[in-house]
Amino acid sequence: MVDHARHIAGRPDMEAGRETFPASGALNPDASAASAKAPLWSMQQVGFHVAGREILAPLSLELSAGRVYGLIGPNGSGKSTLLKILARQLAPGTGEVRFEGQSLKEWRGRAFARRVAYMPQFMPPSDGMSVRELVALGRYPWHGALGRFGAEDRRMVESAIRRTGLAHFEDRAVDSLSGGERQRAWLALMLAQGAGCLLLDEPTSALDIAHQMEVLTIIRELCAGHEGERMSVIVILHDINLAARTCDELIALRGGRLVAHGPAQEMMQPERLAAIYGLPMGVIAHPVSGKPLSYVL
Amino acid sequence: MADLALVRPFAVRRGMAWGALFLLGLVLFALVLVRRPELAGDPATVRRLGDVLLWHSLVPRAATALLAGAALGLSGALLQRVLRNPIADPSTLGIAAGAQLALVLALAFAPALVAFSREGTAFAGGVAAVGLVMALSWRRDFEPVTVVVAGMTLSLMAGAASAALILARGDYVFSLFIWGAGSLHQQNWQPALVIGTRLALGVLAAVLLLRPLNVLALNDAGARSLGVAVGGMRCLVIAVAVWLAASVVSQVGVIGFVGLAAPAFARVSGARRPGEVLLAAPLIGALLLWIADGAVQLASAGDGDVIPTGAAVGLIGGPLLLWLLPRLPHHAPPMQAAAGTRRRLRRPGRALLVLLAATGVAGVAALVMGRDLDGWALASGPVLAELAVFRLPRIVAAVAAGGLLGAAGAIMQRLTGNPLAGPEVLGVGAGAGVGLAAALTLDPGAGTALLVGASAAGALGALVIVLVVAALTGFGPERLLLAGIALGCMGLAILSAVFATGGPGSFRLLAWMSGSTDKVGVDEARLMAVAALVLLAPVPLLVRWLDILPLGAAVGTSLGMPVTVGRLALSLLAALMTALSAFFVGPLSLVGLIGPHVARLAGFAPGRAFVLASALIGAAVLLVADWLARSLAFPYQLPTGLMAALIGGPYLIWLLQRGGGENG
Repeated sequence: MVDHARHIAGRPDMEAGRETFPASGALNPDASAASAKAPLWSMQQVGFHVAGREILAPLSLELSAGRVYGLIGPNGSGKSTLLKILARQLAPGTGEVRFEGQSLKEWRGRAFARRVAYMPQFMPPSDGMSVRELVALGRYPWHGALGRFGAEDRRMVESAIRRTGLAHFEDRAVDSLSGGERQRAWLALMLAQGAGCLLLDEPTSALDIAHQMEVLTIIRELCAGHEGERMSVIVILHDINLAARTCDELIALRGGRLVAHGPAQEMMQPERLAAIYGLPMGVIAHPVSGKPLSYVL
Repeated sequence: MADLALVRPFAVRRGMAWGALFLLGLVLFALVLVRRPELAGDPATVRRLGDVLLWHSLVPRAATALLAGAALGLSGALLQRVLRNPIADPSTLGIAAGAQLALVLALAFAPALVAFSREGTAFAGGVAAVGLVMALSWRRDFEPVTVVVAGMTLSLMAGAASAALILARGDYVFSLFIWGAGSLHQQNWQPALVIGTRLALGVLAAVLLLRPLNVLALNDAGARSLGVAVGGMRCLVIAVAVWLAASVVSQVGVIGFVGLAAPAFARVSGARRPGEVLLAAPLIGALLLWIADGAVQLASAGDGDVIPTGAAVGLIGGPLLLWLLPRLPHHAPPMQAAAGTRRRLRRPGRALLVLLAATGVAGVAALVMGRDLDGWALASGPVLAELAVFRLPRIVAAVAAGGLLGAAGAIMQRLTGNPLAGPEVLGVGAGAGVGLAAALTLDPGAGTALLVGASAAGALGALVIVLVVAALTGFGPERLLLAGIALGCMGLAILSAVFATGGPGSFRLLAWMSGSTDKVGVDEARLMAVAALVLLAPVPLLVRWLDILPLGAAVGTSLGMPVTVGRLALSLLAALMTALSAFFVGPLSLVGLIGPHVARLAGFAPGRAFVLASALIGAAVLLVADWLARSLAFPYQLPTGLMAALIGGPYLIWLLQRGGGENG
């Protein structure tokens, strides 16, 4: 939690522009030496292959708690694969991932699910379940197959539904909702899970601009710790401006390789964005907030 | 995503494997030619006879095998594409069962019709069955799930009706089982010519329909937005597929499995785009049937085949499919869920109580009501006490079996996320049948104890095979279904072979197939009741897994659920339930399919109430079926499983039909 300020402060010398970031960009020697606590996530040479093809080149990263990380990059750059590895949906082909200092292999299923919640990119049909029933599934890691669905479970479900603005829909069948409402229902499931870390694969792809802002605001609030524990979020976003606005740091992948990693505002440089997306891009200041806004040239 | 350059070596290797199989077919055919029976007599006559045998029997037979296999393969590929369901095939739509029922009916009531045109009769039956299925799904725009559920229901009903007729008029129609199992014995070129011309037209139609077919692979909305008239196009493609399959059925009988397996093999061999599958499936189908037929001819010594070719296809293709399953590419077409729940019960608990009460009332009614020699009668007092000895065990067995099947069906459907996954699909029932057949072949007069043991052993064997295959593939729902179906095909092939021998065991086997509770005694009833309670008790404990599993492995894993363990435990439970009840009510009762569908359509939301409601509905259906089976044709007994299929089927179809108006 303390890392937040230090992390940015730790790299004041970060030069804007041409510098290519080393693969271990986050391994800031100052920060890690000073930090008494182990990083939340630590990846060592994590890679992934399918049938001999490299989907993810070995990469090493350390991510700290209480921050919002945005995974950006063009389609097919390995973002979803990386997120699935973190979510234990895929075993890494090479290397090792540690969460809270413990290797992912050693985590038990439910214990891990209490700490980390994952939302897949494509939400499966839910066959007639109501919103409330779907959100209540998020409590499985806590009560297990046989445990009682207790007062605490009810409270968490209630607050998750309220938080995502689904109170009016809670008895509707999930499949009958619009795409955006459905996406929020799945977000509510993750909130009910009560995990300290959320992994989100394009949580706003089906939302209109107002609901996008709403969901991203929820994510920001979670991280700021308005309610209880401060959460960490790793989110894949396609809209670079939204990503820059929401995230503390951006991690850019291209062709399965880590191409850049740094504080969000510093990533908003024309050259850097061009290197990520392979497209000439420009950056201007937001007329009101003054924050950088990117556009395609 | 897939890199073609790296996929190619696999494709080449698989291509070589198919080449090797083609060589195998050639070798088998050569061996058949070489080992033609020696004819005695004047050399000139022998040569003439030999020529006749060669050109009018052996060569046309090979041609028929190749053409029929190709037609079935193409038909299956078209159906799987258009219904977006990897387990759809010509028999799923009721073509085969309809044709068989038509022939049985004709043989029993109007033999002249069969003498006039066997092919015509069968063709009419197949087309009528499909026409009915189409008419039923018309209102829902031929939505894939509805089409297949209606087709399977109809084909199980037709199968039950055929079995009843055969039981009633055995002498006349028993020979049909040989036809029913698909025989390629030829006298002339006519079947080859008929199938050949129709195949040519079918190929032409498929080529013309290729582009719309590509688009139909999307969901309906996507296809419609691209300007495809979804309903009409689907109807057209299905018509072509049916026409191909019905031609084959009417010429050479029911040859299942090729239509299912050929497209599956094509996909396993790396065919991805619809055009590739449509090209590869007929070739593979032709090869499959050719090899199977060659093996049959070699195995039989001159006069008549040992087993019909259709049965042999199942015997050869089943293991092949089982072996290939772990190698099936992962991106199978997504299964479409049933189109939303139409309505939800506000108080499922109260509805459950109502169901329970209704089942109880039906049970009491079945106990006291019945027919005696004077007509309908209510039993009471001492008469009731006397009758109860006979009636009570049947009632208990029917309720227990129905409950088990209903619960097994609900579990299977939740587990696989496939609305067609009845317990019949696991292959366990067929396994039990094979065990029975083995016992009856060895000892036609075997006692009940031996039969129960044998069928349990068969069921267990089938279960172990399905679970091992599924375990190799991480218990993915699609693999589980395909493994079950492959095993079921093999089991039914073996059963058909036993039927075709027409030995004394056949009738007992047939009686079991159609399902009857009249052999249930007090001990069996007690056993069933205890077993049902033991197997149903853990269901409420597993219900959270049942809620999570249909959402897929990714969601299960991220919630920390032990996905593989859960799937293993649930399939084991469902298989045990099926095996136990199948021994008493046969493998074709439809109850495992009806229970969950009726529960869903009645508005029971997923969860505990859903499984319990499905079990109760299953119990009620079998109870009523058993009562009807006992009373309708008094003093004769009708088979219970058959009655269940006959009353449950129409109700299911009516419900599906009614649900059409209010989607989502």
